[in-house]
Parts: sequence; C-alpha cells; structure tokens
Amino acid sequence: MARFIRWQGMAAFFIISALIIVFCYLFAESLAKSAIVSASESAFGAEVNIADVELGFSPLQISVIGMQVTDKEMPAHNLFSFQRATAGVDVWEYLFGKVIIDELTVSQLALSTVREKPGEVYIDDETVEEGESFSDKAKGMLPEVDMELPDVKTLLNDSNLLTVKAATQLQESYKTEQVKIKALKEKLPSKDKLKSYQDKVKALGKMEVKTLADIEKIKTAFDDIKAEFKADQALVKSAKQQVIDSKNLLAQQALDLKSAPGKDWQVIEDKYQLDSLDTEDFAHILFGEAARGYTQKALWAYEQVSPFLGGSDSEEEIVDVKTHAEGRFIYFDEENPLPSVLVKKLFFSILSAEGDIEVTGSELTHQHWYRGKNSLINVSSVSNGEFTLTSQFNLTESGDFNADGEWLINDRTLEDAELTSNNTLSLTLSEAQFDGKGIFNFKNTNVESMNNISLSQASYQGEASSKVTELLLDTVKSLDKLTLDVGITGELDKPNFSIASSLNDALTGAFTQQVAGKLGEFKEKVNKGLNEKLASALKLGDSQTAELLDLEALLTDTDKAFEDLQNSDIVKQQQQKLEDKVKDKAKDKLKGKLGDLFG
Amino acid sequence: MLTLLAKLLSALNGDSSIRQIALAIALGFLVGLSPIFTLHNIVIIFFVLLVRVHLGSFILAVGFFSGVSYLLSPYIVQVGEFILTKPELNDFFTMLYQFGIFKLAHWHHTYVLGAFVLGTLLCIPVYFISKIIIEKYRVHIMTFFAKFRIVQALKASKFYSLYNTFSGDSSLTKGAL
Repeated sequence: MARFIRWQGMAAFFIISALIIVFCYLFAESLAKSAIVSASESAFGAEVNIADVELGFSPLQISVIGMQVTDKEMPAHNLFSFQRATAGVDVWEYLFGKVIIDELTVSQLALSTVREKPGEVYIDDETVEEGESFSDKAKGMLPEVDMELPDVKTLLNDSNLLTVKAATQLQESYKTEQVKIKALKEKLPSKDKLKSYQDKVKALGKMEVKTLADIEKIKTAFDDIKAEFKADQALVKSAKQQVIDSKNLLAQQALDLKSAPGKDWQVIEDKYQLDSLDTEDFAHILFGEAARGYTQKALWAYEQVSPFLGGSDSEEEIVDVKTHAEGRFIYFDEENPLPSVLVKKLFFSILSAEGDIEVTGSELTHQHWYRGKNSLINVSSVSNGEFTLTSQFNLTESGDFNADGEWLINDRTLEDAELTSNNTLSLTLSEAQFDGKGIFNFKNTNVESMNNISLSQASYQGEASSKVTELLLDTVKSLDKLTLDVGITGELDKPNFSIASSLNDALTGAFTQQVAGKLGEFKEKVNKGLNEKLASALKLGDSQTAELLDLEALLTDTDKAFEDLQNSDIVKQQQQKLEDKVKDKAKDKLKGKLGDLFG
Repeated sequence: MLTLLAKLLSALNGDSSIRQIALAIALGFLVGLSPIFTLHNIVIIFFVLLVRVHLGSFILAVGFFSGVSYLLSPYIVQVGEFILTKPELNDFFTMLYQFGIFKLAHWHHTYVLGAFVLGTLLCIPVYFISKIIIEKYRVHIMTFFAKFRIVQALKASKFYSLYNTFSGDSSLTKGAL
C-alpha cells in the first residue's frame, strides 16, 4: 500500500487548503477591492476609486465604501459616487452559480459630483452624435420663423420652380413646333396652284361634249388632274394633323404652366414649413426640448440596462466561437427556482441638486418568470414639494420587456430653469410652482406616456430680437399660469410628441394674426412673381396660338377645296349633258316626223 | 519554474517510474483543462498528493494544459453547451440538478462540464501517449540529443547543476516531492 500511497501528501493537501483559506480570509477584502475596481473600470471606461471594501463572512456581506466612478465625458466629474453600498449575498446560492442578494443598500448616491482631481479615461467614446439633436433642431426652428423666410427674388429665380420649368418648356415647344410648321408651310401647295386645279376642272366642265369619246376624254383628263393634286392633298392632310398635334401639345403645356404657380407655392410651404407655422409649434419649441430630454434619459437608461435584459433565448446565442469563451450556467427545473441574479430588496439614497431622493425596490432581476413576480421601483422625495414615482417591470422568457408606472409632483418650486436659448429668443423660467402627474407604459422600446404639467405663479426672464419672438416672449411673460399636456408615443429613440398648452390659447389671436399677415404678404409677393412668369410665357404663346389657328383654318379650307375637287361630278355632268343633247335631238326628230305625219 | 523543469527532466532521464510521470501528465491535463478552483479539481489534487505520482510533472502539465484550455475554450464551451442543452439529456441533468453537489461542482456550467468531459475522455489516451513518449525519450531521444554540442554546452550551465542536484537524489521513487 505504501508503494502507491504517500500519506504525507494528505497532510500537504490539508496544509495547502488551510493556507489558501487563511490567505483568502486575510486578503479577501484587498482582492475584492481590486476585482471591483478592475471590473468597474472595464465597464465604465474610466478611473474608479474605492476607499475600502469590507467583508462579513457570516452571513456573507460585502460593503463597498467611498466609491467614485469618473465620468469619461467629463473626467473632472464623477458619473456617480456613493458613500457606502452593502450587499448581503446568499453564499450557498453563490456557490451554485447564482447571485442572490437579500438586501442591497446604497447610501448617499450622488450623480455628477466634482472630483478632487480629474480621473483617467481608458476608453474613447466612439459614439458620435449623429445628426442634429432635438435641442439644436428646436433652437433652429425659431429663427426660421422670422429670419429665414426666403428672399422672394431669389426664390423666383430658382430654376427648380415648376412655373419656371413649365414656362421654359412651353417656350421651347413653341419654337420647335414653329420650325416644324414652317417646314410644312413651305411644302404646301400655293393658292395659285389650288386655283389652277380648280380652273382645270372648271374648264373640263365647259368642254363641248358631242360623243361618248368626248366623255371618255374628260374622264381621263379629270383623272390626270386628280392624280396631280393627290400628293398635295396628302401634304395638306399631314400638315393639318401636325397643326392639331402642336395645338394639343401647346394647350397641355399651357395648362401645366397655369397650374404650376399653385404647385410651386405648395412646395415652398412644405420646404419652409410655412404650413405648420402655428402656435402649437411654439409649445414644442419651448417645452419639447425638456420633454425630449427626459425621453433621452429614459433611452440612455434602457440602453445601459438592455444588454443585461436578454431572455432565455438570447443566452443561448453565446455559443459563437470566439478567441476566448467563458461559458455560461445552464439552469434546470427545480422545486424552488431562482433567477441567476436577484436583488430581493434595494434601498438607495440619492443626493441631488433638487434634494434628497430615496429609491426603494424589490425583486430586481432579469428573469422574472422564475418567481412570477414583477420588479418594483419606488422613488420619492419630500425635499422640495412632494415627488413620487412608482413603477413595475418584468421580462418574459422570450425577452419581451414590459413596464408601467406613474409619477406625481406637488408644489415643487422651480428656479432658473432655462427653457430655450438661441439667436432670436432666450427664455428662462425664473420661478414657478410646479405640479404635475403622468403615466407611462413601455413595451420593449415602445413608449406610451401622458403627462399633465402645471406651472403657477410663474415669472419669466428673456430676450427677443424679432417681432415674432417679442410677441411670444410678451405673451409668455403675461401668463401667470401655464398648463401643458405632453403625450409621448412611439419608439424610444424617435418618439412622437404631442404638446398641448394653454399658451396656445393665449397666443392664438395676436400671434396668428401677426404670422398670418407676414405670411400673407410673402405669399402675395411670391404668387405675383410666379403669375408674372406665367403671363409672360402665355403671352408669348398667344400670338403663336393665333398663328396656329389661322393655319389650321387655312388648311381646313384647302383640304375642303381638294375634297370638293376630288368629289367633283364633272364627268357625270358632262354625261348628263350628252344624254340631254341626245334626248333633245331624238325629241326634235320625233316631233318632225309626227308633224309630217299629222301636219 | 526552472526547478520544476529540472525536476521533470530529471524524472524523464532518471529511473522514476514511467507510469508515475505519465499519470501525472494525464491528471495535470484533466485539471488544467478546467478552471482551477472547481470541485472535481480539488478532488483530483487531493488524489495527486495522496497517490505517488510525479508532482513536478503534474504541476508543469497543469500549467501547460491551462494555456491549451484557454486557447481551446470556445470548443470546450461548445462541447459543454452541446451536452447540457441536448433535449435527450434534459431529464438526466434535471435529476442531477436537484443534488447540491452537482451545482456545487458547477457541472451545469458549459465550460466546466465541457472541460471535465473532454478531460476525462482524453486523459486516458494522454496517459498512454505520454507513457510511449517517455519510453522513446529514454531509449532513443536522450542518447540522440546528448550528442549535440548545445546539449554539452548546457551541461556546463547553472541549470544543469540544478538538474544534477535532483537527478543525484532521485527522490520520486521514494515518494517525496
């Protein structure tokens, strides 16, 4: 037995095990601190500082003290920091591969605090802001109203205007058709030629007919004349068709030209958003920016959390061959199933500029189907008026995210809140009492929310540098109470806002009149210019249309003359004459004979 | 590290049992393939310490095969994923899952199970291949390499004196480290 077994090895095993346990016990806190700093720096891409980590072994409890995470966008500030975070972990489940936290407490969580010295940034943020932000757009909207109405002359010289295009096309068509008709005219038989045909036919009609041979001779001569003018007749017919085509084309183009100014105005209205220039847009401009800010925050939060929100299906996709894989736990059915990560209770105290905020939560996990309970979050603050937000959310096994909740703010004092700031208008809410309530509902990234906000005892400060913005500023300043109904629907990254405000009613009269007058004047100038272009093009065409009509009449007459010639019954007439002569002769002969007989 | 290497070479060149070295390499392969702090690894380490296998070879094998495991990790995970998600085996694993020891061993983790299954299946061929290579080494390769000047130069180095220290006292056969 001793040949195969070395008993001292067993002692070595226990000594090594004991050493490892002692090592862990002595250095666990330092190791945990290094691990948390390293993992956090990797996750946040910037310097993370932790003052201390405390570990309690029975029950297992980890406390992180004095954590500061540098904001990689502003290294002189913290993304967040807290004084203490304590989590009680279920050791047994942890050994089974699950993180079950009975209670997570974070005290004095603060956002965007100034750091003692700027933190290091490890990862460059590659996400470049794509396109204009809503804020920029909103700010850009105001100057358009007053300053960016296009110059009428420049607008009318725009070669893209339909009126200009249609007029040019009509003029070009006139020229082209004129050339065609001129060429046809030169080929047409002259009046003299037509008269000579008529004279020839007339001469045939006056010919003395004595015998059938004369009739035959007339017929041959008439056929020769017909053959002679047949080519000319064809020319007249084709010229007539050409004139009709030209006339139709020019009539159609003239019609297009007549309707072009109307279409052009429509385009100008769309391009410069003149049709949507109503008071509702000003509610958007003043308050939409703030509303959009909140949805952007919601989107940011969703994007941060969404990678962790995969359902059971998405987890299976980790099988892809990578350079290094870490694998995953596969969970099977059990009597009392637990999610892989669960925070049973959560308590955050947040320090913010608006006062202390308390956040409590329960059943926080990304696998709600295991316990069939929704995650609950309650946010409340009583520092400045009353603020509460309650929300519940869950994720289904197939990965669908559902959340709903409501918020309420009562009697909150707002001070120095900037509403908008741009070249023509800067507006700040100096002071107001803020009340509001709202509900929201998320289905994956689809949001639906209705919010009612009321500002009372409000005082504003601001500057305006145009007539329109001055009017807007005066109207806002005169309002003691302002209500807003903000509806948000659609995808979180591009939500649709509907903002109805009492500001609309206040502005409706004065503002609409002002804007309508300004727009009316502009419209009149543009339409006048367009109509002038239209008239000059149509005037040019009038003489040519008249010429076309004259030519058509002439061609119709000529064609008719040819038709008459062709259909002439000169041969029949001569035949008739001959028959009459023969009859007369026979009559005379018969009379003579009867006279002799009875005479 | 140098000492460990010297021990290994000493064992290969000396009169240590070929089976002891081959078994150490095979068990080192099994341990090295899995993440080190897993229940089955602790059991194997206990076994290695208890049974007379060549510890130097075992430690070197663990180090070497840990590196191999890192490189092969995607495939190891795929094996574990395949076994754990196979519908036919679902009932079997569900039954095992009810035991705390199964979860404690993290055999419901794709990497751990993949490594354990691959390690268990391949450690037997690894044992025999190691045995053949060591035998060949002792008979042919050792004499072949001894002719080279570089080997002779190495013999004059500090490493060789270390090697001599261990080969002079071929402790493996006596069961010590």
